[in-house]
Amino acid sequence: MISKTRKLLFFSLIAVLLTTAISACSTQNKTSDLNMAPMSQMPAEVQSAPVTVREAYQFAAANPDVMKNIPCYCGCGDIGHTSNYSCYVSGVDDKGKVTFDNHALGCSICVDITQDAMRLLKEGKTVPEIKAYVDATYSKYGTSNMP
Amino acid sequence: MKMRRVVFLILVCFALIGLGAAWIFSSQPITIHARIAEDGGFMPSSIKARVGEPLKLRLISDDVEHTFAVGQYPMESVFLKPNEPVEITLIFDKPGAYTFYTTTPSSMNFWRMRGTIEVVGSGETQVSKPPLYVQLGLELDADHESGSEHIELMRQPSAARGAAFASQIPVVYLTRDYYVAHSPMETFEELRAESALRSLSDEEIWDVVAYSWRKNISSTAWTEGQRLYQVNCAACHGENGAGDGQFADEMKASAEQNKDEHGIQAPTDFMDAEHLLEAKPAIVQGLILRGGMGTGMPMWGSIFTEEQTWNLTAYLYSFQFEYQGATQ
Repeated sequence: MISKTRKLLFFSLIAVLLTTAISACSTQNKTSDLNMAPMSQMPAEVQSAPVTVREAYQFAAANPDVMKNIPCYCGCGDIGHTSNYSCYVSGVDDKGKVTFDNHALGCSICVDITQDAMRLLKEGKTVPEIKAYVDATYSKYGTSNMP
Repeated sequence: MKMRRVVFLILVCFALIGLGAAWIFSSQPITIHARIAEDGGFMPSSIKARVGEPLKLRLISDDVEHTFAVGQYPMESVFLKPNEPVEITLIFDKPGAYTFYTTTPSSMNFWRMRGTIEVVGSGETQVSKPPLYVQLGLELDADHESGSEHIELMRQPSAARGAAFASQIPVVYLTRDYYVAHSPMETFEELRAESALRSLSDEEIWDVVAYSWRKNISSTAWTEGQRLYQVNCAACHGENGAGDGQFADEMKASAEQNKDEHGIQAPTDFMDAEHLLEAKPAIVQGLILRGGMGTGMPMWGSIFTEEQTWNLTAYLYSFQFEYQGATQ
């Protein structure tokens, strides 16, 4: 009986240690769990852009339902952009072919907002909650392109 | 009975191991890797911290030389040599989102090397308000150079020479409210129409404009603006403001490829009179705060304090105005 108890105790301890070690050492990929368009579909200039920009384009192309409900504060409302999505995608044809907009390649706020949206989505926030965060964070720098 | 004891012992072990792990991992620094923006920038780029609690960071560059700085936090930039880790501890006294960034121009996209420290906890939070250019109803991206004739100055306007006419200048031109909302060119035109200054030449009126601009910045603030410019702006705009920083050629080449005026553009040349003399300070400050609209000019609002954005704005005008020998 003693031997059984010791064994139980020993294996429990090993299990706890392993669980702790695995959870502490694991590093989550920033874009894991997010729906991302394949890099092969991106234009050459996006493929050679900084990693944060590449990720933002991939995320935008794959998540129009999210991105069309997130505003941008870079001033692009003046050029007809109606959401953060417009900074990346200028159109999608009947066959689903995406035409990319190179606006975000040189835009600081556009990409920051998308990176925030990606992070908050991973944390389980809803689209209205993400929009509220973006409005609160970026309205001190400019004006929203969404009504 | 024995089974109960065993279960109890297991629970105690769980608790002790949990506490031990929490202690070990909380005392361990968070490692941030730095790579050029094209290879990932700062990783991780998002960190959480609590007000008043030490945040230990282990910084390591995986490729070239970088720096690590935190906007709106009192620290000097930390220099990172490749593969030589540096440990630092930060303690935040206010909640908020703090931006960390590099000041070392490691590639044309070095300004993309940014991340956020989300600090939670109790403390005074800043009440956010729209920027001044929005409050004034100014359009940041409108063409600010189209309204007047070509500006050709016969000599550099001097604040010290303008000071000689101080007693003749209507006081409104020396107020903060006037300064932020008028371009030097508008000020020149309004001063030119003042009967009290009718006897002055155009060059002397420009000296008065330089004087009124100088009155809006202290020497300390100007020095701070100069420091901010050299550390953060010179890599693109050039040490002397001529738009000829180390990445200027690369940016110009990129701009030539961007047929629809989106994407990276050539950096602004502050030595060109028309760029600054037709820009209201509220517009210049707004562009620093928000950045260009898809032009490659980053936003600095999350890094500089509002006071710093005004100091930098005032410093930029000294690429056109001679402030030597003049006091506030």
